[in-house]
Amino acid sequence: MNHRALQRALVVAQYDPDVRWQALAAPGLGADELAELEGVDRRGLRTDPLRRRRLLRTLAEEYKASTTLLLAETRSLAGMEAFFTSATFRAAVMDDRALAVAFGDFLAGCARGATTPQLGGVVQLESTRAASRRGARAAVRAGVSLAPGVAVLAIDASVLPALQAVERYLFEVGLMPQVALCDDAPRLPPLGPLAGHDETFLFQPAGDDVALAPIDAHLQRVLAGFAASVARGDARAVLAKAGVPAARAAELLDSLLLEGLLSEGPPADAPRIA
Amino acid sequence: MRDSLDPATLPRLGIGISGEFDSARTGIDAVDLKQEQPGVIDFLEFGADLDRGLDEHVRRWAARGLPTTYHFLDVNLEEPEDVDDAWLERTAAAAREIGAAWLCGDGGLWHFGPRDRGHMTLMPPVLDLESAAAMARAVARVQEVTGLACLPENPPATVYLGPLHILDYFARVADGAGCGLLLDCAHLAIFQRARGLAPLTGLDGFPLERVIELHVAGGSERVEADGFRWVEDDHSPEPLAETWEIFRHVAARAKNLKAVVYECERNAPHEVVDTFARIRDVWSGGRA
Repeated sequence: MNHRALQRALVVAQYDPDVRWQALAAPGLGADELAELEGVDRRGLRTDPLRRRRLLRTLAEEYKASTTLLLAETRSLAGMEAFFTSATFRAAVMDDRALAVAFGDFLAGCARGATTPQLGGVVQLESTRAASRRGARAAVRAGVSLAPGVAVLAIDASVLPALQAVERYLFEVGLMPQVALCDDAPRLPPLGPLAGHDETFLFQPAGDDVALAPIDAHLQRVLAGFAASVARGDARAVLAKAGVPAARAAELLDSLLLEGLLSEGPPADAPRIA
Repeated sequence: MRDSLDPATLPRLGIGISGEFDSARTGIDAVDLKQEQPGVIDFLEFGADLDRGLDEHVRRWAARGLPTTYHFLDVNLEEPEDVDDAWLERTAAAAREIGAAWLCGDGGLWHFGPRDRGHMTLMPPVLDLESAAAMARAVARVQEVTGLACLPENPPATVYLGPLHILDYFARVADGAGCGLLLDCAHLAIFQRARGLAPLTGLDGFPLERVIELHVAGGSERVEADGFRWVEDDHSPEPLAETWEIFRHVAARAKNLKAVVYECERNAPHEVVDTFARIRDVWSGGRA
């Protein structure tokens, strides 16, 4: 039996006790494993009624504004718990992906059908921050690319103020959660329409957290060109595409590497010590 | 095998209490308990993960030169690749900071996907030969790199997968890794009930000479609306009768037993001191 595939299937089932085992298609989950799973007494998977919510609480820590705006719009906890029956959740568990990043993907899907104009941007911002936090632990990639944990984003200028307004609201309610039951409880302020123009941001690891700083649009375009790794020889072309004059390219590249915004690993085909 | 890893040469710690990050703030403060009621506890077993680290309580205990063990809460022993260099280095450093006599912890899964904040979930291993071999490799690596003995512990669950009895599984882990074992009597009682077995089933073939540490803890019997019966490993004060039966049986036969932990840190001292005395009596040969 493939114990790793079995464990992952059981993790999914703990959060989705009614899952069809056959729906968990994954390498290693063959006939023997499915037969073992068929023998599970599913009642044993339902003994912890708060299991989903405990994990949601952890995940929502990194998506405070996204989850608040989504719940404010849908008024449905079940809609958020649908994460655990989603293909996104199953795939993340079966493939050992970071659940926080998968939750961001799920929220992005929810945002596409939402009417709150800033929701998509807020999800994007919080997802980028969650991915950046985890990316900081990754190894430097081959070639020239954004340094581990560094990311850039261009989003509508109304998104960050919306996020800050939600944080203020959560702070107020958090002082005494019971007030949420009151008719005169604090309410989310109206967020207004989109600004119609973008602001640009840099995400950079700072200890165990991620620092978010506004940057100018030109630097954002330059750095965005290195989201995917490029060979050193192609770096000038990437910079040119972002509008950097050829005469400044080498100096700018060195400067971005020196500042730790870009990193350079050995080429993928470089010889290695066996 | 290095002397420090030979189960027979590990120090005898006596009777201990469990603790976790911040548990002393609302539960039992081991330093206070030892001062106010000398002779109740001898050591502190601290449950830790690298995300939260050590707390003031365990540091205060260790600063008095009192013995400790380090119970990890954040590594998947069933998956050798999870025992990575960074985890080993930081865990060994934390354990040495509090003078831990050894490392121990539930052998199974403490997280799924990459190790991440707040994932803490405990699942037992899949009870088959391949998994046992994988865990043996992981335990051997922990011991080799940290220089500390690592005692895998049988975890609790409501669902167990795989054909082996959990005692046969951990016997194979110990044999493959050359390690000692932590037998949690309450977790074993939970397993036996889940499989419809008598409390002592499987102990006849279990390598009791490898048992270095025992756990005793209270559990609560639950019956769900759908009729499912199970035991919640909630560390309430009163151990199940089967837990006592297992403890009495093993304590009398485990010739290398060095430590017994009563996991009760979230209760009030007056709720647990009698049980500490009963544990001490049983271990010293009484039939309490």
